[in-house]
Amino acid sequence: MRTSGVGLVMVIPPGGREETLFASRTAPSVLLADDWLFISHGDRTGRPRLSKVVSGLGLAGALLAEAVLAGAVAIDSGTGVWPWQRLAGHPTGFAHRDDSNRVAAVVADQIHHEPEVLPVRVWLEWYADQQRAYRLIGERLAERGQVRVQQRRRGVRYRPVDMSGAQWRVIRICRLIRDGKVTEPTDAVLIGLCAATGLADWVGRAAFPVSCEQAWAVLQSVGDLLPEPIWVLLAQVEIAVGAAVMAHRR
Amino acid sequence: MAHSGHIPHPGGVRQALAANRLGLWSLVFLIISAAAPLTVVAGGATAGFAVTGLVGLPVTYLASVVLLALFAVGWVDMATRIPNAGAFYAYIRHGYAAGGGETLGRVVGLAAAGVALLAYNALQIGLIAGLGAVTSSWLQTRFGIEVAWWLLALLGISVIGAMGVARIDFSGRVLAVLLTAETTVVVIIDALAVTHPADGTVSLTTLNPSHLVATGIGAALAICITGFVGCEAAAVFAEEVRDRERTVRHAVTLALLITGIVYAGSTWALTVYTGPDNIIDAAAADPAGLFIGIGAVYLGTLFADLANLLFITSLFAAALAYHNTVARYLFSLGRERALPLVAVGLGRTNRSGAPRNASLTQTALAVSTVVVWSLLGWDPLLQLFFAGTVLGGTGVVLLMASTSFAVGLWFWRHGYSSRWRHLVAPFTAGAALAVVSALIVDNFELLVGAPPEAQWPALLPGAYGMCVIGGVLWGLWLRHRRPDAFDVIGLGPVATRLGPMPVQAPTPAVTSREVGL
Repeated sequence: MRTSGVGLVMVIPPGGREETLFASRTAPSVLLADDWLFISHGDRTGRPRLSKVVSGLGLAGALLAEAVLAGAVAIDSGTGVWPWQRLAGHPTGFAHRDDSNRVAAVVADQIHHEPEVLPVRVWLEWYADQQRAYRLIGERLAERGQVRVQQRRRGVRYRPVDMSGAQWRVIRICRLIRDGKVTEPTDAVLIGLCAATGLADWVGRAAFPVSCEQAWAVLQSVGDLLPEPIWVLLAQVEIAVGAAVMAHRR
Repeated sequence: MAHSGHIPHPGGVRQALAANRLGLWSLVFLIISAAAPLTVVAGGATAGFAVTGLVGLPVTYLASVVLLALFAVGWVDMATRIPNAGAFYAYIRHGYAAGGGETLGRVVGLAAAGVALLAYNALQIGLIAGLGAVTSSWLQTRFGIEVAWWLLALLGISVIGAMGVARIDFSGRVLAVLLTAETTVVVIIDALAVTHPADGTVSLTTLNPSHLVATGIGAALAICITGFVGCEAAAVFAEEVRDRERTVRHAVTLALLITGIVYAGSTWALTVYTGPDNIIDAAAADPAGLFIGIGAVYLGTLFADLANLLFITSLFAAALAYHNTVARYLFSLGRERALPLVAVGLGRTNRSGAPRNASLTQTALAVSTVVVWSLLGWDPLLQLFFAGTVLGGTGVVLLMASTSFAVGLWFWRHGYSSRWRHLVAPFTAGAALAVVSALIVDNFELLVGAPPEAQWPALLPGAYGMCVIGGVLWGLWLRHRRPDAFDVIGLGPVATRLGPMPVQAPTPAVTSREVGL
């Protein structure tokens, strides 16, 4: 596993064993979850490109990644997720209140609401379930008029208002996977999610056929661009997606 | 945004997620449907009388429950302690690594994966051939329609293959309805048999434990234990149940008890109906029709039709379960990149999140086996259904034996909370299952019902030897050439492309101090 030197906090539990806590200070926040929603859903219909469960896990991953990059939550080496509230007043101040990103603040509030520090896997499943992540991101887009809301029998669907804008995001990410010239952490996260959810095998257009293998290869090359908690998060998305495939379908 | 991700109350997240998970009875139905009780009672058990010539089958079923319970106590405890360890080879990896080092664990784990792949494929293909043969003969005798067995088998394979790729499983509710109907039919026929005893007396002699020391008991034990194959699926679902420790343990106990009582009760009822002295001849005369025939005599053809239909659906449900088991094994191995690089695609999924390539591989294997059998004109019932399920059952018993030792070794190394549950039971079960495996291999031609002069049955168990040797050699090659893949053998979904991950998150308290950057 990589160490990026972005932020390290030691947490000493009552037993005295030291646990490393990773946080990020990659402010200002960029709304990468919006991009992920457009990439992982059809540009015309707004239908998810992957199965319901995997699509939900991808959105949950994007939501948590955004919150981590915004500094609203931190992830420790044991994959526990910490909201900024529990680290407030901490001298490092990596996790902090960030009112510019309301969704990240909501996520931190919800995570703080739980008395126990829960592992990333649990939060991924929680936000994937019942379209929770999809609704949080979709409503933000709807408020800015970027998607149309459709209430359907089996939940809500957000259709892009600007189809070409949605298409452009897909083409852009495919081009990045093909060329491997990644300079922004948010792009690296999107490529990581493409690989971890398997979307890379399906998102490619005729002009830019890409694969998961390529996405993994690009991800291996970005190295220090991403802070440690994002690596932990991406690995947990991959694990959750694998477990969902193995699971019995009800 | 208030309703998005609203948490009902502190601590509500785990609770809300638990509501999505499998409950006790869903799990019980899932595992019993893989055991296919009606198939066992109407097909396997009657054939068992004919093949072994022993009347003590009912008490042998009860003895098998005891042996399997002994296997289950430690294994279920280990299942709840190692996350993501659904498949046998995962326990074997962890157990033997604890007993003899990481390299040993991984190599033996890979060999076990090979054995499991052969075993579950043999079971699946055997069941699908049985499905074709049984349906074909039922259509002919009942409606006079002649359809070749292989055509029906291929039809079954296509439906199962399509369900596998589209990721459609029987829901817990459908399985519950089918199983309840199956069990009701079995109980009704049992009641008819017991209320119409041969000489007017209900004899309990076949339940006498003295039958357990008869000669040829090994073959009988083998047939009985094979009837419970499918129950081991309980651990695969450990990740998906509400309360790992309690749900899995209770589900295994219930599944063993229910199937055990159904098997022992039905075989005993059969001996009452024919009279203990005549059961062997009656079973030999009509192994596939004896049990359902009782229903036909007293309740008419309509009841027999229903029973036959349920027999067919039970074969189908079991074949689907084993198809998914094989697909999971292949997917898992593909994800771990433990297979040759050309097979890495097995770890991929399609858009609907199904392990498509793994599923298609199993379907292709099944199709080619059925095609070869039909071209060579071999008998589907004897040489594919019996041979396949017995061969598969042998593999599962071998895996159970090695898993038992792995469980004992694991607890011995990592600390045990109960000497009896974690050491004595696993090692005893391991030794007993090893003896049973040896007896099965010894009696293999008898078990598949082949004529004594036939040479082919003796070769079949040797296939497992090949799997073990192949697995070990491949493991050693991997160790040298692709150590990253070698390291994650048996980790399943936890084998990530981003390096090893902690599998269970500790939850440290909130006290911190800075250590700089």
